[in-house]
Amino acid sequence: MSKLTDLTIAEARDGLGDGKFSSVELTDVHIKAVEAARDLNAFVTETLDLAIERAKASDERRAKGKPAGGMDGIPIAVKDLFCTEGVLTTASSHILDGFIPPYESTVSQNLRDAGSVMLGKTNMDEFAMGSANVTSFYGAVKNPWYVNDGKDRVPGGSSGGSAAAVAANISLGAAGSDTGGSIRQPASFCGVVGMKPTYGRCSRWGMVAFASSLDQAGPLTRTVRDAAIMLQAMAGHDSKDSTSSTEPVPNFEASITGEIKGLKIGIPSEYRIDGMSSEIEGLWSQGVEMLKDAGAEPLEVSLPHTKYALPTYYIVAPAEASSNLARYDGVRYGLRVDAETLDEMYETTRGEGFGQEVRRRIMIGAYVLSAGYYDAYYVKAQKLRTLILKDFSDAFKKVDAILTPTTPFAAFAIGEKMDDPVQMYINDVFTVPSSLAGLPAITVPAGLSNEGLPLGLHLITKPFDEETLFCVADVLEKLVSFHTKPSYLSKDAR
Amino acid sequence: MRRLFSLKNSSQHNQPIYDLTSFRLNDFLLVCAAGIPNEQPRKNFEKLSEMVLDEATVRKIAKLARIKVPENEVPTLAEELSKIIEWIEQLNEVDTENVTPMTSMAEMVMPKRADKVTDGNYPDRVLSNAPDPEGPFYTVPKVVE
Repeated sequence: MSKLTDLTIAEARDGLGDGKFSSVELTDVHIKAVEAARDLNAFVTETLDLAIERAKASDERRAKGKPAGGMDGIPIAVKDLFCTEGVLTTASSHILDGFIPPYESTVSQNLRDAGSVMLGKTNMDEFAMGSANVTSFYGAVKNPWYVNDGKDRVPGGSSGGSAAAVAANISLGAAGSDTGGSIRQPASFCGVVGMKPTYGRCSRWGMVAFASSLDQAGPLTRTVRDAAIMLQAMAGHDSKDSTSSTEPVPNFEASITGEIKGLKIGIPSEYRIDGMSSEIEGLWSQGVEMLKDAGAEPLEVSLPHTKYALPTYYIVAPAEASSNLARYDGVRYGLRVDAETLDEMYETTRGEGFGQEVRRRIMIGAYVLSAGYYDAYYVKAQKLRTLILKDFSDAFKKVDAILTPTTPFAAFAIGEKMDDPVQMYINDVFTVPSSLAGLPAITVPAGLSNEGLPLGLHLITKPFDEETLFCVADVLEKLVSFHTKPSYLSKDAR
Repeated sequence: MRRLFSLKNSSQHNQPIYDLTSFRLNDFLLVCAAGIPNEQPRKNFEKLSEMVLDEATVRKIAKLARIKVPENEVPTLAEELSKIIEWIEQLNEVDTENVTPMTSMAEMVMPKRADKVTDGNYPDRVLSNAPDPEGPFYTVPKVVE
């Protein structure tokens, strides 16, 4: 077995640079990994021929002494909500049947321009609405981590296919998107690093929209350094997205200095939620101690409106979704279910094309925006959002970063937590507040649950301070020294 | 269209309904479909908890959202949506009397590009995904009698 699939992006970059292997060789072992891991259902579309083509082009560039960028020749996976020119893009929804974008999203274009090699489009919760990757029209994704009880675990969601692909050594990194935790929660469930940058860092142009004031692209990788390298390739101002930031993009990798002496780390007391398991609490305290030993100063901070973040999110996000998803009408692209009248065609197309959770959220959105309820729900939620943002602004007057758990529990079995939508929403209780405030955040694998499944720790910093985020996360990663590999990787034995 | 823009300056709503920068033309249609608030705004949640979503309301919002919901799914959906709405109503605990609603992630003026044609003239690409195009046109079922 080749071990080229074990490399980090940084190691692969160096190996390619030193001529130890070519991109075609590196891509070839990853193509074999994609083929061998089809049982995980991590991909909606594989683009293996395209990958070889791009790997050859990368090798040619390198032979001429002109590599394209920081990720030249690196095989990655791309969540199936980034529009990719000439490649089926579905957002894992039936309603986007057969949709082949004639254009490329800015983020996937940036990744191409940096030389990366796309292996395929990863499975996800339909329209990114879910936390278990079970709402995909293309079926559930299996978490490469399992324990010996015969039950497959969910990979988390919505970027479940991306997280599974990185964890199972199928791709060196993956592009995901995060609206309320959709990068960080699956990364935590699959034992990988997942990073959501500040709102506006990455262009939303060409991303299938869920909730426009929250959606943000980011990387899933095996190390913090890899996340910095990959974000570098993804980020940057884009005039095609009116909310794209003009803040200069710093060198993220250079921010990884190993030095956190004197940094103040906030520990928000409100994140000690009722019923939090002792293993999560233990992991969190351990993280605090580690950062303290490295010279940082832990400080209690208060984020008083934390408990209102989830209900706020479940007004704002569905409201925006109900508007964004109005475009799926069976007229211009995707599924059309024929009917006698135009109205009936809209209704039957949307009724058949959207899955249960998407229908639920669109209807919640339509309701909270409807006549008579707009102020009671939508404006109320926007006011709560102001208060949540203020909580963070106040805390960041005292601290440089905030440390919390990523999720309230480890990955659960496929089919669990399905009876009550609100129970599923609890998955994102620790990730939603920073999404509502547009802040950069990262999850780092930090330990195993009693059952033997990975758990993550979550760091949040000020807007556009990804540098402190990467720096602290890297120190935490080294101290935690989490090197356990998912059970799937020893499947040769099973 | 005109009605939506005028809403931005409406005295009833100090804040725009949407960050208009984030949405495209097509999205305005659903705003219209979903109903523009034209009644007196509710000051609080007083009556809402008695008024969880009944089946008639579910049928109404399904219609507004242009989603066909089979009649046998209406009762379950009413129950699920009511649960979500009841859970959301805990926001009523928070006094937000003097709080300004957050309407944009960044304190910035919407950037505008020069008013020039920079794109277009490729109807084939635009229509390449149309389910049932006819010449350079999208098609829909007949809408006039």
